[in-house]
Amino acid sequence: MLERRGSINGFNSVLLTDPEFRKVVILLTNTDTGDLELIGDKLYRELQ
Amino acid sequence: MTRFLLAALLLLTHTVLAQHKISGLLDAEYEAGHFNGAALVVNNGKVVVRASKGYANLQFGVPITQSTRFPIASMTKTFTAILVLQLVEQSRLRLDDKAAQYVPELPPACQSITILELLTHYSGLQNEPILAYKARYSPTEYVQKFVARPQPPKAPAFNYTNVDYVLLTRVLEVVTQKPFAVLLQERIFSPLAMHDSGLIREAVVTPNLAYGYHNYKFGAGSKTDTIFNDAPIYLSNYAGAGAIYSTPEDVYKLVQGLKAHKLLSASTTTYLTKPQKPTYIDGIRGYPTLGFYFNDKTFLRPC
Repeated sequence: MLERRGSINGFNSVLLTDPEFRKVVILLTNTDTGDLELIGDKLYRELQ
Repeated sequence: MTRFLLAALLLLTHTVLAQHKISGLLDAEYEAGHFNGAALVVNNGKVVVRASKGYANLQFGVPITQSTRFPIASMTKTFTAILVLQLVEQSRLRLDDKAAQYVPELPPACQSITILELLTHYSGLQNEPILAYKARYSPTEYVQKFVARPQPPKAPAFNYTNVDYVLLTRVLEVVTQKPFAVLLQERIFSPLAMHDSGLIREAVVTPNLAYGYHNYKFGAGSKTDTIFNDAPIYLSNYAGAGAIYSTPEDVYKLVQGLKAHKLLSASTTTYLTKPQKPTYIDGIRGYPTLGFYFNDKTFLRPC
């Protein structure tokens, strides 16, 4: 899996994909209230 | 024929179940106060879930929609890496070039740093102070003020710092003689029709740009917790390290553009995603590639 995450203050983002770019999870938020790593993993797992 | 229909039915059932499960997961995270944003989940070219939860502006109760634009922070670094590799493909830049070839005013201790070391965070540059975002600095000014290496130099090691990518921003501008915002527009946003993406500029009112809020809970709090306005900082100073805004749809266009080799050749795209170092970095969950982090541990079962 390829990951790219971002975090500046409340702005948090996650991009998860496989090296062939077939399965993709994109999360963009404007609060830091969530654990985006955890949420992203949960969603990506459902694509398996 | 029957076998084909059965396979199609199984696939459809799997997709519907995944849709239901993913929507439910996002609903639950929103209800728990852990997700305020937009999501896009795609499987084999088919959108599984498109979701918008919460508010782009809390004080006016403006809901988040699929048109809401978000600062994407360090996701920006992937765009910067793509621009670098485009110039490499055009033989205008080499990964083993020294950054000082293009930015000669770098301090003496930084003259040997290569483009590859900057891309992979192995430059040894110091992290920037918070002051780096308390006043407006152009990439040129930022580089002059915040590019520094500890003396004596430490052994090469991974150090995640925005300074690496602001210096790359400056290198890109020097090589092309164009501002970073123009490069992004000409080489990525326009070719991929990413109409909801751009570079943050404090002097410009960007339509549909979300406000930022924080409480440092990162999943440990609840919906009733107090939340605060983000402190005013100059997001534009992050430049190629973190100053792009976008939407999930536009980010997906980037992914599609990579898959279809609209931005980079097939071999360069493979190189973009290939681990460059043998060391797995726990904090970022992966081996550094040029544009991403390659994680082969979280999901051991092949997807």
